[in-house]
Amino acid sequence: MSDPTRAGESTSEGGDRAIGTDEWVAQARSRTSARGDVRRRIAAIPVQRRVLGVGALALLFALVSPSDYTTRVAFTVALYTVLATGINVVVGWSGLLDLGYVAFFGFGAYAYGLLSSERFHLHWPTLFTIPVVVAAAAALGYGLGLPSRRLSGDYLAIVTLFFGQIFVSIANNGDRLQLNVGGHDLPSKPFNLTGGPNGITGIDPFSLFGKKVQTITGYYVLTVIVAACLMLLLYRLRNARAGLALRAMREDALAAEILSVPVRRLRLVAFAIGAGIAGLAGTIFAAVQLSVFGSNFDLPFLVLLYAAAILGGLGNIGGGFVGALIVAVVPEMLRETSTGRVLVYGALVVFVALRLRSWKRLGHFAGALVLTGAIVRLGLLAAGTALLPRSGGLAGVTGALVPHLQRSTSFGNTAFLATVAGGLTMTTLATRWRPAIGGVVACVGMLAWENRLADQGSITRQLLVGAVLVAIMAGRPQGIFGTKRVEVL
Amino acid sequence: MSLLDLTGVQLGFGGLKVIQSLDLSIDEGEIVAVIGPNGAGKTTLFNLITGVYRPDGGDITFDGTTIVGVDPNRVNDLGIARTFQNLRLFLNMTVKENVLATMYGRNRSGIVAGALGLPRARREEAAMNARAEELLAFFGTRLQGYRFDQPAYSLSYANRRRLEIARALATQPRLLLVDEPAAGMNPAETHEMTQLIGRLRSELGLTILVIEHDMHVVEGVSDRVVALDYGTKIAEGSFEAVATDPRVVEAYLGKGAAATK
Repeated sequence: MSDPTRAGESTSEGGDRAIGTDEWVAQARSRTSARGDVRRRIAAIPVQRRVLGVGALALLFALVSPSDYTTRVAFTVALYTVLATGINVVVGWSGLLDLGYVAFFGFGAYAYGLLSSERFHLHWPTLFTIPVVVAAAAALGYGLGLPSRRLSGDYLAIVTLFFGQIFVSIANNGDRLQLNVGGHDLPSKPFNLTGGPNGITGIDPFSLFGKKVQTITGYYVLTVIVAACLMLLLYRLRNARAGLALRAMREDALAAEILSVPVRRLRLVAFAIGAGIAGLAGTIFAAVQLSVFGSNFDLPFLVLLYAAAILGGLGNIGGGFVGALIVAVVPEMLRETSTGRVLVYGALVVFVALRLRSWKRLGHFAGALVLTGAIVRLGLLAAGTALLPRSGGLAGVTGALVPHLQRSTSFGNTAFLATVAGGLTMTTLATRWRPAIGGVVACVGMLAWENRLADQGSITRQLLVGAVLVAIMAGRPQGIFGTKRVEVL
Repeated sequence: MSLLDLTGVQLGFGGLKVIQSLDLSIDEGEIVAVIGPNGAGKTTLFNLITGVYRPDGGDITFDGTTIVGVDPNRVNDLGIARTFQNLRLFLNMTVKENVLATMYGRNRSGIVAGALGLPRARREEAAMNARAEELLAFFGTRLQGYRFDQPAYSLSYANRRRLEIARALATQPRLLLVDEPAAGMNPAETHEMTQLIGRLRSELGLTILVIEHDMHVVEGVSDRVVALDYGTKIAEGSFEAVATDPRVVEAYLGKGAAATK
C-alpha cells in the first residue's frame, strides 16, 4: 500500500480527497522512504535498457517454456501488451475515450484474413500485407476521428462504442451484401465479404523471409519483438514534440489550442496511431488463429483490454505490459485448483504482510483467525459432521486450520456469503477493529475456498479475477505503474 | 502602425450583447490595461482576439492581416499568446513539460522523427530544452532546478501564475494577453508581478494587453487604460484620466458615488 493512498484515506472521512498541493506533500514519504530509494534506482536505469532487459527475459521464456500451453499464455500477454500500449496512446496520453478500439483490432485481423486466404484467392506476401493493413487501419482511425473530432469525453465514448458495435454487425452479416438501387439488385448475387458468422477460415500463417511461421513459439518471439520496438518508439515519442502536445491536449485542450497546439488535427493523429497499433496486433492474431470471427471482437474483449491498460496505469507505457500480464495470466492460473490455491493463499499472505505491519495488529489478525478456525472445528465436531482427511503440501498446512467437509455444498455456500458480508462490513469498521475482524473473515473465506470455490473451477475463476481487479484498483487507483492524477485545482 | 486593431467588433450570446461595437487599437511596444467591473466583457475580449469566439460583426486585424475566423492555434502562430484568469496549466505535466508543450507551433519535427529519435528531432529537442530553461530563469530562482521535474499541480498559486506566463512566452509571441496576473496574490507578489510585466516589454520587446482589477498594478504598468462596461468602451486614456472619469466611477460604484465625486 503506497503512502498517497493512505493520505487519501485519512482525509476521506472529511468527504474531501487530497488534491492540489497536498497531493505532492502526501507523496513525500514515498519519495524519500526506502521504497522511494528503490524506485529512484530503477528510474535511473535508462528506459531503453529496462525495455530491452524485460524483452530479453521474455525471449528467454520461449526457450524454457515447459509446454505449448504456457507459450500460448505468454503469447497472449505479448499481444495484450501491444494492444494495451495502443490504448495508452489514445486514452492515456491524448485523453480520447475510444471505445471502438477493438474494431481496429478486428479490422486488422479481417483485412489480413481477406488478403491472405482462399476467400478471394489472394495470398499477398506477409511483409507487404502487414504495412498495408496497418496503414489502412490508421486511415480508418483517422476517418472515424473526422466526424467526432469536436467531441470529447462521454460523447466521444458513445460515438466510438457505436462504431465498435457496427463493426461486429458488419462482420457477422457481411456475407450477403446487396444494394437495391432503383429496383435493381446490385450486385445481382449477394456479395460475401466477411463470411458472416462462419468468419474467414484457412488464413495463411506469416511467411517471413521465405519461412512460414507455424509454431506458437515463433509468433511469441515475433510479438515480443514487436511489443518491445513499439515501447521503445513510444517512450521516445512521449517526450518529443508530438508526444508533449498530445499529453497537453489531455490536460487542457482549450489552453493547448490557444497556445499553438493544433488540437483538432492531433486528435485524428492520436486515433490513427491507436488504430494502426491495434491493426498490427490484429494481423498477428489472425495469423495465429488461422481464422477470424466477428465474435472475437466484441465488447468483453474491449473491457479486458481497458482493464489491462488501467491496471498497469493509464498513460504509462510499461504499465501496459504489467496490466496485460495480470489479465492474461491470472485467469489461466486459476484454471487449476492447485495453482489457484497457491495464488489465493499467496495473495492472502502478501496482503497480510503489507497491511498489518505491526506485531500487535498481526497478533489480532492471527488470533482471530485461529480462534475462528477452532470454534468452527469444535462446532462441526459437536454436530458430528464427517470431515475429509487432508494431506500433502499446502493442503496439509491449511487442513489443520480449515476443515474440509464430506458434503460441503451448503456449508461452503454459507461460508462464501459470510465472507462477502464480512468483507463489506470491514470497509465500514474503524481501523482498529479491522485486523481482528479481518482474521475472522480470512478464516471464513478459507472455509469457503476449500469447501466450495476450489471445486467450482469456472465460476470461482471469474469471481477471483474480479476480486483481484477490485483489490488492485482499491489499493492503487492510479494503476500499478501509474501516477496519481490531479484533475481540479 | 498599430499591431492589433479591433474595429466595430460585436459579439452576442443569444439575446445578450456581450461586446457592442468595440474599437480598440494597440501599438507595437505598448502596455495597455483593460479594466471594468465583473461581467464587463474583458475576458470575452481576450477570447475574441485569440480566436476562441468568432465576432458577429466587425474586424480584428493583427499586424495588418485579419484574424477573424482563424483557428486559435494559427492565431498563436501569428504571434498572440495569452494567460488565463482561472489558471489552465497542464497540471499533471512537469513544470518544464508545460513550457516545452507550447513550443509546438515554433518547431517542425514530426511524429515519426520524434519516435525514431532522428538527429533532426534530437537537435530540435535539445534547443527546446535549452530555451525552456532560459524562459524559466526569467522568473528568478522560483521555477529552477528541482522544480523543473515537479508536476505543475505541486506549485503554489503565485508560481502557477508565473508558469502560465512562461508557458505563453514559450510560443514566442509579439503580443501577450495577460488575464488578471495579480489575482489572489499578496502585496509583495503583486508588486513583483508589476515589475515582471515591465520587464517583459523592456527585455523581451513584447506588446502587452493586460486585464487587471488591482489599480496599483494598472497604475504601475500601463501606458494607456481602457475601461469596459456592458461590452462597450466607456473611457480610454491615461490612468489618471480614466480612473477619475465619472462613467468609470459609476460603473464600479453606482450613480450616487459618481455624483458625489
